[in-house]
Amino acid sequence: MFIEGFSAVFGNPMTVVLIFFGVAVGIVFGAIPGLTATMAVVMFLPLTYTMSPIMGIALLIALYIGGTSGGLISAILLNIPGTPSSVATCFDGRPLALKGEAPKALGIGIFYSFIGTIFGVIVMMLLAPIVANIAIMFGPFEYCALAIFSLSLVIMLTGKDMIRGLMAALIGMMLATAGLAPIDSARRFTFGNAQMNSGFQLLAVLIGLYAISEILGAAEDVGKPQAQIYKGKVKIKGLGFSMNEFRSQISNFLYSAAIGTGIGILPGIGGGTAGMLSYTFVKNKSKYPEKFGTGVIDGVVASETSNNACIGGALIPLLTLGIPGDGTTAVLLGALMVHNVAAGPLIFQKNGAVVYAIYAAMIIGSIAMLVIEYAGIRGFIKVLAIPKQFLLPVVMVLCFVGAFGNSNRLFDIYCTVGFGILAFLMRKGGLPFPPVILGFILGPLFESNFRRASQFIAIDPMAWTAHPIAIAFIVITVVLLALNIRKIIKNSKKEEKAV
Amino acid sequence: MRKVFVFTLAIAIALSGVWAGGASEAAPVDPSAWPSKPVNIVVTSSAGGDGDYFMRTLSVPLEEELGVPVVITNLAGGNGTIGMDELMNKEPDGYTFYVNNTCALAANQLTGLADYDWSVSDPVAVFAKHSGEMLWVRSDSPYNTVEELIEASKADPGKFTIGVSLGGSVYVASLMLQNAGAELSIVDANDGAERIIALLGGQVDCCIAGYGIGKEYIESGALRPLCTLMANRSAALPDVPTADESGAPGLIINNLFVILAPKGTNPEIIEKFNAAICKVVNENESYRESVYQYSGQEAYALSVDDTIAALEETKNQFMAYSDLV
Repeated sequence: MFIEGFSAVFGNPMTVVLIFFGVAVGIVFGAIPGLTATMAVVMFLPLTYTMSPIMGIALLIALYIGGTSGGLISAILLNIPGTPSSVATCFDGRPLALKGEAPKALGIGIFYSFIGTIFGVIVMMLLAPIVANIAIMFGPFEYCALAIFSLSLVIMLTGKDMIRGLMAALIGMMLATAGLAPIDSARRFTFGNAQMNSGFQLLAVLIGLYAISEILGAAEDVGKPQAQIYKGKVKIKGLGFSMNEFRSQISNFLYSAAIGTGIGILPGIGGGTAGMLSYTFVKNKSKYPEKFGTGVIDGVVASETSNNACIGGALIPLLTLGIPGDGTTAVLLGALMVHNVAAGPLIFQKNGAVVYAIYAAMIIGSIAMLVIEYAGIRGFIKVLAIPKQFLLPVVMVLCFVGAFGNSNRLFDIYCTVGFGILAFLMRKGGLPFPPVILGFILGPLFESNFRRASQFIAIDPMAWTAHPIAIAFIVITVVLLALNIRKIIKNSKKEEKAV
Repeated sequence: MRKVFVFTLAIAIALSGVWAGGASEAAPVDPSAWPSKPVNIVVTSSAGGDGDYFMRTLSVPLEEELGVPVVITNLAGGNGTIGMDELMNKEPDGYTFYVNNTCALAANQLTGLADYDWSVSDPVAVFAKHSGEMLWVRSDSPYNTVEELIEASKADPGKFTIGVSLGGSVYVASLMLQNAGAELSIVDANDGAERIIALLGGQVDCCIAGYGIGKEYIESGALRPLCTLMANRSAALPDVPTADESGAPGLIINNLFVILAPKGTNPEIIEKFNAAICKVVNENESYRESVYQYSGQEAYALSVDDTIAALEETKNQFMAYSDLV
C-alpha cells in the first residue's frame, strides 16, 4: 500500500505538475494579505470533484502547504501577515527586512517552512495511530486548561509591557464574544442584525489590525521622505544563511517543530497560536531574549517551523478521527468524503493508498514550495522598491477582496475597516496586536470548553479530579506565571537601582 | 507625492464601490424562456458539508437537463440564517436559489435564532435525504435498544449523559427522547464528529450523530447505533430500527435538503425547476449511485406540494417543543 500510494503520486507526472501548480497558487494566496489557504482550498474544491481521489486530494494538500508558507513573504516584506499562521513571523522578520537583510529573513523562513513541514509529515507517518489517541484523551477539561495555559503566555510574550499586553488580549477576547454564544446560541452584541450572528471573522480582525492600520500609518507619513530599504541588486548566497547559523538553530528548530506538531494534533487551535507559542518558548529559553523583536533569526525560525509543522499534526486527527481543526482541514475532510474516502479508524485498512498518497503529496509539495519560493526571492524583494503610495492602495483593495471572499458578504469589509481604525488607535496607545489575535482565537476555545466542563461538574462536583492532564496544565500555568512575575519584579527593581 | 497617494486611494475606493454595487440587479422574467442564463444556487452551509455535496453532485447532471450552467456558491454562518437573510432581501428573478435543510429551518425558529419559518421563501424541491442522525453507544454498552436505554435512565435519573449540540435539531432530538420517558443528563459536546470522539473517550455515555460520521466505528467495532432518527430505516443499515418503532415514539428527525426560491418567484419557473430536479434525481443512475455511496440513503426528491408539506410537518413537529426550549 505504501508503494502503491507513493507510486500513484510520484509515478504520475500529471499529479506532480498539479502539486507544483497547487503550491504556486497557494503561495500567491498566502502571500496576498486577505487571501488565505482556506480560500484557495475552497475555490479549488469543486474542481477536484471530477478528478481521481489521489489527484484531487494531492492538489488540495498542495494548496494548503503553499498557502501556509506563502504568508511569510508579506509578513517579512510588508509587516502584514498574509495568513493568521504567520503573525509571529512579523516579530523578527520585519526588523530583519528593515535592516536590509530581507533576503536572509526570507531564506530562513522558506527553509524552515520546508523542514518544519517535513518534520510534521514524518511524525504523521510514524505515529498517526498512536497520536490520534492523544486527541481522544482531550475533552472539555483538557482544552479549557490548555486555553488558560496558552493565554498566560501573553504575559511572557509581552514581558515588560505586561499591562498593555493584557489589555490587548482582553480586547481580542471581547471581540470574540460577539455573535452567537457557544453552547446555548444566545445572541450577543448582534443588535438585531442577522449578519452579526456569526460574529467577527478572524480574517477581518487580522487584516484590519495589520493591513489597514499599516496603510493608515503610512497615510500619516505622506509627504515625508521614505526610507529606501531596497538598494540595487539582491545578493543571495546559497540558502541565504550560513552553516553556523544553521547549527545555532538546531535546538530552536526541534522545540518549535515539536510544539507546532503538538498544537496541530489538537483540533481548533491552529498555526497562528502555534507560531506565537513557539516564539515565546524560544525567546524565554534564549540566552539573549532582549534581542527578540529587533531582528534575530531565532524568531523567524521558531514561527515558520512551527506553523508548518502544524500541517502534519492537523492531518492526524483529520484522517484518523475525522475531526477538522480549522477551516482548511474542514474542506479537506469534505473532499475526502466526496471521493468516498472515509476518515476514521479504518482509513489505513480501507484507503491506505490514499493516505500514503497524501504523505507523498506533502513531501513533493514541500519540495515544490522550497524551489518556487527560493526562485522567487529576487522578485518578492522588488516589492520593497515600490513606493508606498502605489503599493498600499493595491494592498488595500486586495484585502477587501479577501475580506469579501472569505464568506461572500460585504459586512466583513465594513468590519475590516472598523478594526483598522481600532488598530490605528491602539497603535497610538502603544497596544501590541499579537495578544489581540491570541485572545480572539483562544477566548472562544476557553469559553466553550469551560462551559462544557461546567456541565459535567454540575452532574458530579468532583468530575475534574478524573482529568490529570488538565490539572497538570493548570499547575504548569501557575508555576510559570509565578516565575515570570518574580522575574519582572526583579528586573524593575534593578532598573530602579540603576536610575 | 501627496496628490498621487490621494488619487490612487480615491481610485481604489471608487473601484471597490463599483464592484460592490454590481451585486444587485433586477432582470425581467419570462417563464416560458426559463432558463436562458446561468442559474445561481447559494448553499447556506459551508463547502464540504452534506448540503454542499448533494447540491454540487446534483448540479452536474442538472446542467445537462437545464442546458445552462448551474453555479454553486456558499454563504454559510448562523446555522443558515445568514443565507436566509440574503434570500429575504433578494429580488425574485428566477435565477437565484438557496439550499437549506428542513430541520435547520425548524430548529432555528424553535430556538429563536430566526423569527420566521420556511414561508418567507417559495420552496422549489426537496432534493436529498440526510444520511440520518443516529443514537450511538460504545460496543461494550449493555443496552441494545433505545427502549433499554430509556428504562436504565429511569432507574437512575440523571446519571447517564447524552452528548448533543445544544440549540440545533440534535438538541430537539434529545428533548424528544426525554419526552419519550428518558431521564438523561443532556450535555453539549460540540458538532457531530466531536460528539463521536467524546463517546469514544468515555466523556458521555451515548450521543446523537450522523450515520456518515459514525459508520467507520461500526466496522471497527468501537461503536454501534441503537436506532436511526429518520422516519424510515437507512438503506445501508436495514437492520437498525427507527427510534419511533423501537421504544421512543415521536422521536423523528427527518432531515431533508431543500432548494428555496425568494418569495414571489414565478410559480411556472418553480414547477419547471422542480420537474428538472425530480427527473435527474429519479432517473440518473450514476447520480443515484454516488448519493447512495455517500449517505447510505436512496436518492430522493419531492414535488413542490410535497416539499411544502414536509417543511410544514417538520416545523409543527419542532414547534411542539417550544415550551421546553
